[in-house]
Amino acid sequence: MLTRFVGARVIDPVHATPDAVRDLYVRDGRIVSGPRDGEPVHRTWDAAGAIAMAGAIDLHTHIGGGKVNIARGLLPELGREHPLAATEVCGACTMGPAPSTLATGYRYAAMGYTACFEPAMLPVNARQAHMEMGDTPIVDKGAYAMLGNDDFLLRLLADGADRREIRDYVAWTLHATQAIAIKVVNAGGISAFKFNQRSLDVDEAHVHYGVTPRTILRELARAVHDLGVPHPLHVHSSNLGVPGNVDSTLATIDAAEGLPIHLTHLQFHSYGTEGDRRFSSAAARIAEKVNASPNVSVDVGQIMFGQTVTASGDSMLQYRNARHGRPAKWVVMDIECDAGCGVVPFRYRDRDFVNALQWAIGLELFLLIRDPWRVFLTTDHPNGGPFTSYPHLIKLLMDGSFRKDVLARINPEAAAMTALGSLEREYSLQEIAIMTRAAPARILGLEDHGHLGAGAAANIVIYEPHPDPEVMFATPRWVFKDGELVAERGEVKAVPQGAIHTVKPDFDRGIERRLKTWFEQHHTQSLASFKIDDEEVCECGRAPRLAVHACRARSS
Amino acid sequence: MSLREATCAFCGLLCDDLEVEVAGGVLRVVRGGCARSEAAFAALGEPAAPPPRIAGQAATLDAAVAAAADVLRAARRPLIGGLDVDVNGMRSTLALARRIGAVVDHADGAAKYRNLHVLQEFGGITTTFAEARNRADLVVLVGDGWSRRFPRFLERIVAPGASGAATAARRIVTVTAIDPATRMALPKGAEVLALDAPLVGLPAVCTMLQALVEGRPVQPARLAGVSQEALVRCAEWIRAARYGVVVWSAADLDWPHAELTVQAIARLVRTLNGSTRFAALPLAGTDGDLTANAVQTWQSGVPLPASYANGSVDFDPNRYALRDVLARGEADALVWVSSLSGAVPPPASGVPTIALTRADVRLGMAPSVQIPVATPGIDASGHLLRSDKVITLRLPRLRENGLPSASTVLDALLGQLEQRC
Amino acid sequence: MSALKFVLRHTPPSAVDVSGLRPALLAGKSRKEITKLPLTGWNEIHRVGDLFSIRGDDAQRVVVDGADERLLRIGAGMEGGELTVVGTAGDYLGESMRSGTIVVRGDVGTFVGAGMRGGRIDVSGNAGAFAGSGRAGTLQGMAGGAIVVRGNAGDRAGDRMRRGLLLIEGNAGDYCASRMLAGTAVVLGRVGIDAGYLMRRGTLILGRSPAELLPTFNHNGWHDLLAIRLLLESLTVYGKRFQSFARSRPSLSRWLGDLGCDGKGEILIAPGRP
Repeated sequence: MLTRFVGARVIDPVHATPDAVRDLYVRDGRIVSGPRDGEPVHRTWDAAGAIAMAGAIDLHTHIGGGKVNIARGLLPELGREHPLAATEVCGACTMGPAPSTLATGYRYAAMGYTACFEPAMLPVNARQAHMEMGDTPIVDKGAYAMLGNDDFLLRLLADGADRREIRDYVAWTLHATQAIAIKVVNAGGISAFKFNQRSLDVDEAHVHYGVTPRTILRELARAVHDLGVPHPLHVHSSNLGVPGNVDSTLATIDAAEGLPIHLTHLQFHSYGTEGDRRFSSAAARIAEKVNASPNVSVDVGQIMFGQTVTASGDSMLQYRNARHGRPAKWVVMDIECDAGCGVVPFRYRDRDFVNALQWAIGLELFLLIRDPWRVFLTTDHPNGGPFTSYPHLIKLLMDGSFRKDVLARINPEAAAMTALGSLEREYSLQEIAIMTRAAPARILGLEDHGHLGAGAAANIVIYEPHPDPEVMFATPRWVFKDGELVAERGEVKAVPQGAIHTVKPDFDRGIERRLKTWFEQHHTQSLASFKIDDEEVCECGRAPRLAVHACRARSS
Repeated sequence: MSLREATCAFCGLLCDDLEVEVAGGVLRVVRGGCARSEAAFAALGEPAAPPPRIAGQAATLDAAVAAAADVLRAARRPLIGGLDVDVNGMRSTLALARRIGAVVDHADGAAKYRNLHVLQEFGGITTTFAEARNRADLVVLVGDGWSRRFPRFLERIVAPGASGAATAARRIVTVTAIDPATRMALPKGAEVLALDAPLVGLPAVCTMLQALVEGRPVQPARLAGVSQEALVRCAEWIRAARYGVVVWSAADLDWPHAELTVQAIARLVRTLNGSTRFAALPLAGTDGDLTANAVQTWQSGVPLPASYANGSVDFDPNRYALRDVLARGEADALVWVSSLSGAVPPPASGVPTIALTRADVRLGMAPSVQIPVATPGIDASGHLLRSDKVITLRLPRLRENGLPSASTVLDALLGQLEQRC
Repeated sequence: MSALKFVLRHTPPSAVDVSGLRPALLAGKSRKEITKLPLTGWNEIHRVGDLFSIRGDDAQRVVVDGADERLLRIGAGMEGGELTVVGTAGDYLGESMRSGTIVVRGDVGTFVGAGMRGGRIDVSGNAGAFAGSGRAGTLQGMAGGAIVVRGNAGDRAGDRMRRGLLLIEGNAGDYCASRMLAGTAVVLGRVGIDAGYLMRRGTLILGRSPAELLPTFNHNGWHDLLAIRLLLESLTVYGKRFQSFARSRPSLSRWLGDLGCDGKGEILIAPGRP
């Protein structure tokens, strides 16, 4: 079965002609260079005048796992206000601040996204995370396992363990939880909070283990690098949301000692303490450092005005920020000698000084960081705002005059403290395609995603050009997932199940002996119960297949 | 005869260290058992695959599914209850509920809602088993469900010396009166304070403790039935704890509006975190209640009880509680899904009933259709959420009896309904 | 013009949301249009004309006659006008209403006036539990307006109440004014157990001494303060029983609490028979 797409302007930054009108061919869910000799074309889609891009990829979106489900349970009054009615192919569900898994799959697909990555999977909660992602239809999924607050690693570091041991433990975790990357959240801080430590700076010692965040960051970044995991250590820095956290963010970059790291929701970590309110933008300093550090990639975590809910592993900072939350109900959890979580609803208001400045800081970062291959479009869904606001965010990036209009409406004190008004940069379609497709695929090691070359998965989005980019990106004309039409003009047409993406680096299984003893002494489940094998993850995750991506081990 | 490692599905602790002897399909717990699990395994008896029944008459599975589909086609307002199921059982239940516009609730929804209500109208600071095991220097025990309903809770989580991390001797407070045998079971070496409050006095005990902890000008002597001295000491212990944990089972708090008492506990915990660390550890997860609610919540975005009427999902504990819907006489069919413990039979409702039950369950009145299904963790593998809502454990299959899983039957039923429309 | 009257023809097989029958949504519509308006039941959509026979034409004065407890959310979201209900009203009557008047000649179900912001609800009979409270999951109950119940109210009357008046001529059930945040609730009859549990602020006035008060309320003396007198005086517009209560100029016993929850609320108790 050969399908042809005719006449679209293909924006495909990975290839030699990144912007050209050309035909695309799809056979068995894959893009091919063209028909074989005499092969008939079974179906032709007329895309003349339209724009084709690869399916978009969200590399940081909280779509599955216990804390998202706590957020849903916490806010039923907001969920029931936003029902998504059943259709021929979709089940009834809701699209509240923490949308249901069904709504998440439907709306992402309708918006042209074909792969989503849960960035904060607690290893002890991995089964549930995979189950929730399994009930998130259409899109492909993957998850980053959280380390760096687990008592096992902190004990290893406190005891001055051998780097090989740390590397084996990291690899073992990726296997046991079926993850594609490793994330660290407030390195050591979540654990320190359990010992009643209320803040932890990059060079401050954990009150019980004596280890500093700098050590944790360095050792994890090295382990991930040495194992050859494609995605660098995914870092949620210390002091999230705290005025003046620019210093700890810069120290975090230094802690990597030149090894690749990815700083996530950077907006929440780019705050100074200038001005009467002791809260200011430090985006320029951060951007300068990122521009000068080729080992660093970032995603922004833009905030969008409106009601949302923040769900984070960072129990220490969520507890600290909970008093700002609205509606005033929140959950903080210590979790199983592994990590923690905090769920706090927020209502970001454009007339509020802090919220307005946060909004501006996010946009400053987008505009000041030069390389679109190293800055990704996220709202840290749902923490900064729902993923459904991406088209609006794209418009803010592409349309300078629109941006200035909005800037004129926000809290004037905040507007006066941002350089946003002087930043003229406007993103091109090409740059949007890089930051939402090509670059996330590359940084995750997904060889067959994020581009439209032969061999790629036939995840194709056909947009109708429109003077308003928000309109164009909100409702693509067609979205194809593995060659199948899944959405048309915002309406879901088919509900296939996506694959699970993982990595499985080589390691010495001897580490399990030490882990087995640790589990027996400290945990409340056995090591065998903890591990998820391939068959089980496909059952939990309802995945037709497991996509295992290559790791190229490096020695150091 | 063989020995198998097993995970016990019969209470929310989900102990995964059981050893079960399998002889001719009969199961006997030989290691890691407790009164509850030993009785539950023994009750399973020999593996049997009794036939499905239509109005009491034996039938093939295909015929029973077809008959069930006929019942649902004739119904306009179906209710799905029980939900004593594993994750895949609940996934299939919800697919059916969406198709037929059902109202959905767990058999034990009222007890579950006591805790959920407080999450939704206050929030909470909670912890999990391994945190409590490794860090708690004070454990405050409310009611006696931690012993009666969760028999290995003390042994696995509270007994000092269970781990190397908690160095100081543990303090234990028993808030409500408990029987002498339960008291004897408290870990030796722990410093114990017994408030011996009557269970019904708990609402006022909780707010009194809050007032004492905050140093408000209250007179503890006005609280009837509790020693003033013990109350004051309890408040001191609570304040002095470095990592305190308060434990209850919502099923114990079985009086109207008990959720307010749970909120008082949650509030006390939140206050204490202003200066020290303290966390709640509610015990639940038995009979699939947490599992059913979690799957419902992630798939739909709102918890149980819920209505899928009119192609839309709605949450309202005031309208969709199982027993209320039946009492109002609105439902015209009942689907009862109960594959785990089978302890709760479908309520007598007077409407056509489709019951998916364990093989050993005999119902007093023959429902329209009864289909025996495999028990997760016994006759089929499955997954359940543990009490602390973070851990989901796999329940491996222990024996073969040829029964279909609840999920298989529900999927077949859904297939039938979709075929003819 | 005569009041627009909806007479229930038959009890529907399941509860029906009739919030559509409120003045603002009916105004300017022809009889024919109104007849065809949809009302949602459980997997069935009723046309207004199927459930009700319709008389009259003044959409600012709506009457629901022969009401049944399966009619839910009568007058929910009202933004003006008058609505009269004859019979038994179901749950959520007047939910989230902002202004206007609802008069019920009969009883109402649970959550009457849940989350209301303004306007007035007057119930001649009894009210179910959670009068003046808020929907499950919300943090606040009624935040304005007045609810008057001439008969008895169920448990949790005034739960999470944020502002406004909740006036009960008869008795109230258990946990009256639980979690109250502000506003005023008055019960001329008896209350059940644990009144004011987790009350943070606000005022609960009791016409009779309760059998027992929570030990986390402290006695603060007897008061005949001007502020209290003015408050009582303001109640006289709500009918004879409140008039005679206010004019008896009771000296009120004041209790402060709930000290297990900030303790800034007050229960004022009139002397008299327990």
